Amino acid sequence: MKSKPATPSVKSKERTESFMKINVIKNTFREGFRGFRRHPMISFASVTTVCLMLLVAGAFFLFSKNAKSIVEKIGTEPPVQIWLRNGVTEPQITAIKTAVSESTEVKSFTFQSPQDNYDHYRETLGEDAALLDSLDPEKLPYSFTVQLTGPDAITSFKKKIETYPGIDDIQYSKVVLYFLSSTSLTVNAAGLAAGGILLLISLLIISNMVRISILARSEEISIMKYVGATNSYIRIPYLLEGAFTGILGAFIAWALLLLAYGRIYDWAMQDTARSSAWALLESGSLAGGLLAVLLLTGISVGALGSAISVRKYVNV
Amino acid sequence: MVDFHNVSMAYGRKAALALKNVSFHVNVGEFVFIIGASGSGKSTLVKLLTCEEEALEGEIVLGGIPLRRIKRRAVPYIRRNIGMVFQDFRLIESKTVFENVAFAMEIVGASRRQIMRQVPIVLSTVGLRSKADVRPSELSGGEQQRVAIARAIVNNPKLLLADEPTGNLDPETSEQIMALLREINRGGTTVIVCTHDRDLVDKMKQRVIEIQEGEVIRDEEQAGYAFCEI
Repeated sequence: MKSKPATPSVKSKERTESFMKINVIKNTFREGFRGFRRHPMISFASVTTVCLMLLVAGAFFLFSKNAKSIVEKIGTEPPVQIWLRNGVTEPQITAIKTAVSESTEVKSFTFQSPQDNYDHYRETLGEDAALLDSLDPEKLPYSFTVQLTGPDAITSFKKKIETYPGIDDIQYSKVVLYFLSSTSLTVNAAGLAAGGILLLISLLIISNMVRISILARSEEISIMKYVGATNSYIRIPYLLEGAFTGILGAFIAWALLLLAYGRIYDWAMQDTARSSAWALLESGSLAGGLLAVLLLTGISVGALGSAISVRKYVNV
Repeated sequence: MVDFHNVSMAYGRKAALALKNVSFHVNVGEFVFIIGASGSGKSTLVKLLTCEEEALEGEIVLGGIPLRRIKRRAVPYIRRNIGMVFQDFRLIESKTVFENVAFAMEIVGASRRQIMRQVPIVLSTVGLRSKADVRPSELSGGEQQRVAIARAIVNNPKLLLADEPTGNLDPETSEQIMALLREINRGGTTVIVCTHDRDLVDKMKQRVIEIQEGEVIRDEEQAGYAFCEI
């Protein structure tokens, strides 16, 4: 009689082993959830701390996104105005025109004669245009309106152009750009500092939460070791417990931030057109990115906080 | 099944030897008592077998595997071949009798179906089928030890290692526990019992390995607790 080939039994063994692995994964997730529910007060404290940290991180994200968008829009709009002196000569005007047109920072530019500027003022003044009746258009200066490639280009462009004779003044939205860039820096620094401190507190609280959970179950863990549980079988539920804390904290922070941002958006956009450079970004366009940032940070902090305790207290 | 070859062991570099040149061999399906006073080295021997500690010198072979050569990550898989029974039972109070036994199967990745089939059989073997839903605190000492034995054998280990299993039990219950261990042994499982229960060892008349101050001073078949000189 022929004996059975070995292949089917090997296959069935492999199948059994993969089923066992699936069962182990299922158990691991179940234990992770159980761990989270086991100490509700500690879990609540952990979620709250993570949530607070993520609120700061999220607010920082929303501010920097908006600041970046405004700076970009303002930077590329035509804020740079070059005024020439009265009595500037034709060759000087030509030299400046050439310098502006050849400058790599310039996206486009227009040149205005005194008459152009006079007409522009009349148009701007509307009903009060009569004020200009006694003014000789030739008394007004020549000017250039320049659109730059970006907000960063202003410094080098200004440095290059202001050396030309015949230039009286170079005006741009100094205040706005300065405010946004300096505020961004301050907010970035404050956000990083606050986020960093809250991150440390979160790590500390989560690692303590997991430590308490481990110590409360030390007997169970020692039995698990004797029965043949692997290090990862014992450790992963605790890491998941930390990650759940992070996920829950992230969703709560996300909801609160979107709610608050919606209010701020409605208030700020009352007198501002959506097409304006000053318009805030709509919450819909920010929600996805914000959730991703919060989830990623929350899960990382949660799992890392757990890992600190798990490495220290669980060893097969 | 178990081979100790000139094994010495100390807890720390400068500490005195807890085991000195210990050598013995236990065959598959044997029932062996390891006896000795407290501090003689019985527990050290158990720790070496469960890979909690490493031998300073010598070689320990368990089921054909030299323990010195195995990696740390392989230790859990070695332990799955050993069923452990302790003096203090070590049951999880928050779990029922059924769950305590099922727990050992969950860890090795058994399915719910396998657990539902196997646990009642094992509980019947130890005579606790009717107490499956009871918590350990509601059981007597003897019953708790039976649950611990059920947990130890539920994954069909090749070796059952009992460290003072009757230390917390009255003589009558101790006898019942020993009878249960003997029954499991008859089913083919190798059983090693560390004890200093003189009466039980005398009654059971099994192989006895006696340890004194870390040294094997007697290895005798069908023996009693005390050495008999003819």
